[in-house]
Amino acid sequence: MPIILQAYDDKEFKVDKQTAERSLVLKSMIERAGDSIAPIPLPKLSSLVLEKVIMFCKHHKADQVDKSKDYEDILGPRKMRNGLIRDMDEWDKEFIKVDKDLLMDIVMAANFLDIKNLLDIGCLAIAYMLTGKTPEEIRATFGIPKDFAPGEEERIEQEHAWALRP
Amino acid sequence: MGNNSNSISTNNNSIRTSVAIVPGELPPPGMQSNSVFRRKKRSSSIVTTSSVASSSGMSMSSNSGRHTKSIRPGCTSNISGTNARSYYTTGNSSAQSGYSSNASGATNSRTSITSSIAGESTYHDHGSNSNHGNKARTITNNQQYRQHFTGHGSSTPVINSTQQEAMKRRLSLFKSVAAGGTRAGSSSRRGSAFSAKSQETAVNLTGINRPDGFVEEEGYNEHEYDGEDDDMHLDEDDDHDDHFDYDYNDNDFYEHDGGDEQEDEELDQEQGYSGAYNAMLTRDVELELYRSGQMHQCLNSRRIRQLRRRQRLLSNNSNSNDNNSSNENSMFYRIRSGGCAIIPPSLPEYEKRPSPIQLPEILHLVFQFLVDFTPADDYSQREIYNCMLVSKQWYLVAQKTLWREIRFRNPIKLGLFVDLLKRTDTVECLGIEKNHHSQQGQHQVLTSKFQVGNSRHQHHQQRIAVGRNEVIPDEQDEGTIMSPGTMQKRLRERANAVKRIVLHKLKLIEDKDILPLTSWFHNLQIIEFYICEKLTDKIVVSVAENCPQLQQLLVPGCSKVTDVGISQIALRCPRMKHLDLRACSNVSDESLTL
Repeated sequence: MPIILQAYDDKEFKVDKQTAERSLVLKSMIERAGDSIAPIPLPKLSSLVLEKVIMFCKHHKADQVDKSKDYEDILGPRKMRNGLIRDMDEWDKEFIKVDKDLLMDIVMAANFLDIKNLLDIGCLAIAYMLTGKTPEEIRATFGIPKDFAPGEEERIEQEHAWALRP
Repeated sequence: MGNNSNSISTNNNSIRTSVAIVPGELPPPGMQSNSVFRRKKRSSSIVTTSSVASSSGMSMSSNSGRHTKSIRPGCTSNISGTNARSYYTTGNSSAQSGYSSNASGATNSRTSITSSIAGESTYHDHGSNSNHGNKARTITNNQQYRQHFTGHGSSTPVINSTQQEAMKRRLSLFKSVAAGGTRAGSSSRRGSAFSAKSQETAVNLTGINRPDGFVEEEGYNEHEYDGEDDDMHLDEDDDHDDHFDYDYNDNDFYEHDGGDEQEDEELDQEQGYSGAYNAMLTRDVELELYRSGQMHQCLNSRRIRQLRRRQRLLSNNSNSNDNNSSNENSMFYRIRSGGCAIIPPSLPEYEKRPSPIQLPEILHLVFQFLVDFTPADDYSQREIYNCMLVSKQWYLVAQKTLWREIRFRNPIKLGLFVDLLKRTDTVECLGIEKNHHSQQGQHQVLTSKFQVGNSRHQHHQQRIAVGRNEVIPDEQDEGTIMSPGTMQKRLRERANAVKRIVLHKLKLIEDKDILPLTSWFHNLQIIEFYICEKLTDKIVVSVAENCPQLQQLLVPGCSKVTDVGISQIALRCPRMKHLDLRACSNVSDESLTL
C-alpha cells in the first residue's frame, strides 16, 4: 500500500511503506493512521527536498533501522563516528554532494522527520564544510552575524588559548 | 452553561498596552463601572459580551471538555498621539471593566474585540458600532466555528471583529494575547506593566518587513488569537497567504498556500507559533517572563491546548507531528518540534529559512563530527576553537564539545590548561577576577613552561601567588557571557562535562602538575596516561578519590604506578571496565585480585 507524501507545493510522492518508515515520524504516523490512504502533508518540505529525502530512504530502506548509534556511548564516540564515516558508501557521498542551501534543508528535513542516518550524513557534510575555515570564513559561508559583545571574543581567545596548542 | 465556563475574551490589538481584566477581581485603576462605551478618535471599539460566568473558576485552559474561556481582555487600544481610550465593558457587569490605557508611541490604532459567549451558542452583537460590514463574516466564522466545535466544547465562541485599519503589526497582537493569556489567570495588575513591555518587544521583533498584501483582511487577529487560544479557531479560508506572515520574516518554510484542511493549517499555525514563541523566548524580556513563572503558566496552558488539538487531529487522521508537545519548558529541546526556528527575528540578514546550524542539537552533532575529522595524532583542537569564535551560540555549543575530551601531548598546552584551572580556583576564592589578570597570567605561564620538568613545582606556586595579588574587584562586566562570575560557573560546568583526558608521552610532568585536573573533573570516564613516567600512585589515588564515574584507566608505561594506586581504583571506582597496565612493572597480582 503506497503512502502518499505531499510536499508543501502540493506535489505528491508515492512511496512504499518500508521507505516511509525510515522516518520515525512518518512511521508512527502510519501506525496510527492504520489503513488510511490519505496523503500525508509535509508542509515544511519543498518537493525538491522531499524528493532527495525519499531518494535516500529508498536507497536505505533495507538497512537495519536501529544500529543504535549512541553517541553518548563512552566507548569512544570517536570510534563510532569514524565508523560511520567509513560506512558511508559511495552512494551516500554522492548523494550528499549538494549545494549548501539544499544541504541545510535536507538536514532540517532529516531532523524534522527523524531520519537518523540522513541527519548524520548531513551533519557530517556540514562539518566537512567547516574544516580548515577561520571564524570569519565560517560566518561568511553560513551568513552568521557576529554577535559578540566587545571584549568577549578576546576573552574567549585567552581562555582557550590552550586549545590551539598541538 | 455552567459554572465555570464563561467569559469573555476579547482580543484586540492595539499595540502597546494591554491589560487583562479578570472579572471578579479587583478592577484595575481606571476601570469604569458602567458598561459604557465611548469612542474617541481613532481607537475604540467596544464590545460587550454577555454572559459572564458566575465567577468561579476562571482557570484558563484546563477543563478539557468544557470550553472554558479565559478572559483576556487585553483590552487595549490606545493610541499614542491621540490619547484615545477605549473602554471595554463586559456585559454582565459582574465585573464591568472598562479599561483605558494610554500608550505612548503606538502608531496604529485598531481595536478589535472578540467576544465569546459561553453557554448557549448565541451571540449578541451589542455594540451598534461594533460591526462595520464585518457582520456577515462574523457570522460565517461563527458557523464554521460551531461546526468545528461540535462535540467539543460546550460553548461556542463567537468572534466578532470590528474595525481595523492597517494590520502592520500582527505579532504584537499575538504577543499581547500571549501576555494576556498569561495574565488572565494571574492577577491582572501585575501583568500590565509587564505586558506593555513585552508588547513593545514584540513589535520590535516583528516589526520590520511586514508584507502589505494582507492588510485589511479580516481574520488577522484571529490568527494570533487562534495560535494562543485553542478555543478561538477561525476558519481563514480567505487569507492563507498571510497566514504565516506574522512569523518572522524568515519563514517561508512555514508558508504554504491554502487549500489544506483546516486542521493542517491549525497545526502549522501552531508550529509556526511555537517557532515564533520559542524564538521570542530567547529574548531577554521573555527570559524574565519565563523566570518569573508567568510564562510557565502560559506554556502549560498551551500544552493543554496542544494536546487537545492533537487529539482532534489524530481522530482525523491528519498530519500530526506529535513530537512537539513536550518541549515547552526547555528551550533547548525544541528541535524535534519540527524545525521551529531559533533565528532571532531582529537580524534580518539571516538566512531566510531556519537553518539547521542554528539549532544547538544539530550544531552539537556537527561539531562532534568536526572533532572526528582531526587526525588522531593531531592534538590541537583548532577546528573547534575556530567554531567557538563564530558567534555566541556557536561558542556555547562548541565549548561543550571542546571540553568533552581533552588531549595533551605538549607540556605547554597542559601548563596553559592547568593554569586556567588554577586561575579560576583563585577567582573562586575571591569571587571576582580582574580583567587583565588572565593575560598576565598567561605570560607567566608561557615563560615558565619552557622550563618544564625542572622546577615546575615552584613556578606553579609563584604563579598562584602572583595571581592572588592581581585579583581585585571588578564587577562591571557581570552578566556578559564572559564575566568572571559566569565564567567561573561555566568552567565548573565544563569541567564536569569532561569525560576523557589523554596525556601522551609527557615524560616530565609530575603529579603536582596534573593534580588540578583530577580535582576539577569529577565526571571523568576515561583517563589515558601514556608513558608518563613520573606519575606515581599519588595521581592515581587522586583519580580514585575524585572520579567515581571512571570507566577506563589506561596507564601503559607509567612505571611508578603501584599496587597502592590500583587497589584504590579497584575499591572506589565501581564502574571500572577497562584497565590498561602494560609496562607497569610495579603492579602485582595482588591489587588486581581485588
